[in-house]
Amino acid sequence: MSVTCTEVLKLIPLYVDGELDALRIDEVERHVSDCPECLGQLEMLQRLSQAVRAQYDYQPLPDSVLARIEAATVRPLRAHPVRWFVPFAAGLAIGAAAIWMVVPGLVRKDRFAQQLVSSHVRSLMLNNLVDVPSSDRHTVKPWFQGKLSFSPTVPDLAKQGFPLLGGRLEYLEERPAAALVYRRNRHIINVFVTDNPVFGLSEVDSAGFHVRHFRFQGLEYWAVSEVSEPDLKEFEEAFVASGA
Amino acid sequence: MALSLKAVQDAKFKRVVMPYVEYGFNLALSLLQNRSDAEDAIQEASVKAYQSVWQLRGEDSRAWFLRIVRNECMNILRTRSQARGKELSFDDEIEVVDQRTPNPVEVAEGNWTRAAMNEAIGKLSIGLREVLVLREIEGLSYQQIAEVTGTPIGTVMSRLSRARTALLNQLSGGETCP
Repeated sequence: MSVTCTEVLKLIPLYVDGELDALRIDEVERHVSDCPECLGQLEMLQRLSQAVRAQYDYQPLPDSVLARIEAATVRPLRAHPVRWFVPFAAGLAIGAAAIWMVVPGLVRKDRFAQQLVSSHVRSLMLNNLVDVPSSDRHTVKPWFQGKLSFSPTVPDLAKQGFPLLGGRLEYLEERPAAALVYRRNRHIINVFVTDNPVFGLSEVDSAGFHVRHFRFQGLEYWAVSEVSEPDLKEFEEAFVASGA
Repeated sequence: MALSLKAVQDAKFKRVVMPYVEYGFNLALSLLQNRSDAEDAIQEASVKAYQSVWQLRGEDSRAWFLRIVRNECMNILRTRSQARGKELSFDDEIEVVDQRTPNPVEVAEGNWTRAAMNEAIGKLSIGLREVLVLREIEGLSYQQIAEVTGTPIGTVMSRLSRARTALLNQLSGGETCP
């Protein structure tokens, strides 16, 4: 059934703005192919839209403003520049370098904790939470077979208030790892599982995130979430108890 | 053991907010029509975005950040209005918009100068100007514009339509409506 001019005139702005589905696009295009008035309206809006984009006085962000923003956000806070601070800072830098060289394990631990939190954040941001969406542990656990050289424990913790959402593959410290995904109310808990015993982080507090590490049946587990610390501890205890 | 994970916060801010700072700066310029105020607004908005970047959970980070920028601009506009002893108004009808029909010949040519185009956009009311810029310059969908401006999609569509009509009228210099 063909649409009327009145209907098409209402659809034309949405057509120009790319807000129509394929069916509506087809209706508009078939109508304007036979209707010079509606075609004229459509072309007028397209010309205006193109002219606004082409002629708009778009301004690049000044370097000075970018520098101010970076100084106020991503760069570490600096002390006020006083003369005694220079040798003090130099001494501090030498000390930090010494610590970096003498205690590389600590640095790696920090970096690994950041890697875990980054993976957790990324899973929440990119709609990339689960490769195998299932609340059934008998579906999630076998899914990892053939993908990993180990088989993670996947307990059903729904009764304890931590329903299973599924699992996905991860890559930690250049090795494949499993990520089990649980939920506590509205918060997600990612449990990263590897057979790599290098890092033993018992617990880590970060800006809004907690990381808990536990060793269970020969594998390494790291639970990462923004749930409260007691909740994450309760999760760890429930996890370990369920497999005991 | 407590470890600072500022580096993670920095990385997330750089990944999800920094790509849109220039867009935000241009939104601030279009709303405030003043370079110094726009620079202050984008800096303040960036700091607020940095502090709350952990709250971002999978939603559209561009719309999220532009909303922060827009709110910062509105605070500045409110302060300006209070200084002048006036209430900030988004009522499009109060703002002066030429009610003339477009001249078909000029519209057909569509070769307006850059100066004329930017002057015409600058004359739009705040409510009309922001939806036009968000749509045409920032490339946001109706849904995203609704999120940034905190208005229903129907209002976004209505304002966009009126912005375009007003722009055509100003650019074409047509006859005044009765």
